Amino acid sequence: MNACVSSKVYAFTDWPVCAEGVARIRWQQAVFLRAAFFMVHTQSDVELLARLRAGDHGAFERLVHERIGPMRAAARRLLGNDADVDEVVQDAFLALVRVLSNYRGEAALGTWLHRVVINGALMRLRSRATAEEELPEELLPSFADCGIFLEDQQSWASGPLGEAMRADTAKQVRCCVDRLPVSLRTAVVLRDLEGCSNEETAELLGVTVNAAKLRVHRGRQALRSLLESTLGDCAG
Amino acid sequence: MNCEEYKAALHDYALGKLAPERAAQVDEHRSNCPHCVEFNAICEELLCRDFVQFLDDYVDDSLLPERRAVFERHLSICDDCVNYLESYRRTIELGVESAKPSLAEPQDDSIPSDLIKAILDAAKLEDQ
Repeated sequence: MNACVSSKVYAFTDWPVCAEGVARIRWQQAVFLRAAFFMVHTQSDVELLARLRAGDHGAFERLVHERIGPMRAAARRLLGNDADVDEVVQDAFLALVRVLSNYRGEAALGTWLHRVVINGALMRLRSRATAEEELPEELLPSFADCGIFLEDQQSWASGPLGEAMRADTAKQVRCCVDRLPVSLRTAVVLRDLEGCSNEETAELLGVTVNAAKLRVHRGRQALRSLLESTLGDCAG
Repeated sequence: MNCEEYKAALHDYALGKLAPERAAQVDEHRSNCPHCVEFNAICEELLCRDFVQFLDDYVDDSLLPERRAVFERHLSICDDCVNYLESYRRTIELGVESAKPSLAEPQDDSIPSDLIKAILDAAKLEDQ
């Protein structure tokens, strides 16, 4: 599920109530809760929420089975193939359990969980505190002093990159995304794969909108080069 | 040198790849051809480097109309930038498509049963 793209978005009316409970939980959950600014309201969410509040373990189990795949996929896109992925997903479900009693109203639990996972994954990335990888210069276009491309740019229209995507292509694209330096990967994942706006991306990354836009743009350019070299002959 | 030959030679001319006599023909055509005045003006209006620098704003349709018009004029004469723009847009599309659950491979969806059990057990403990 795409957390940021929805046809019907409402302000999160549960937020003031949830805020009262923030002091009782760890600071990580406070950050998780701040993710819930906007929610989608559906009838199935209302019913599901009622069941969860009533302590219906079967409903919770169904929710886990329904949501865990997309949540793991979202966490994996940010964290790579890592044991942290499962911890982030588990933390998100437990965060839901903890806020449930203070959770008044009707919100899209899937959207909320997705956002909590995104926030959790970003927190993990920050806590790793590893040195930022440098972006190889060859992944960005190069220009002559006079400002024109140094190399001819080939059309992708008649090559494999112009075709409808298959599952194996999707896997190769995900591998290329994984190869991006972390700061660019997170920006591209949030902006393009998660469908966040520039403003949402900046907020999630904790940077200015201009800084987020720059990361997204450089990330796209680098991804473009990786796709071109990985997915084969584009010369048509 | 006619206009078509002039336009085709400009890229190599700018990169200094033309033989001296061919470069001199380019210079002569540029100075004397009234038909290429507009083309030359567009060439000088925006560099490929600047086009790429602000490509995200062009794709997001967030450029001011007059600035967008400059980009459009550049695209009308520059095949490299047309191709780069198309590939940039396609990169975004491929990223979006790669995240669709329908394109996830089966093994991507295989959820460890012990993870689900751990979540359910922990949730029950939280409830108590």
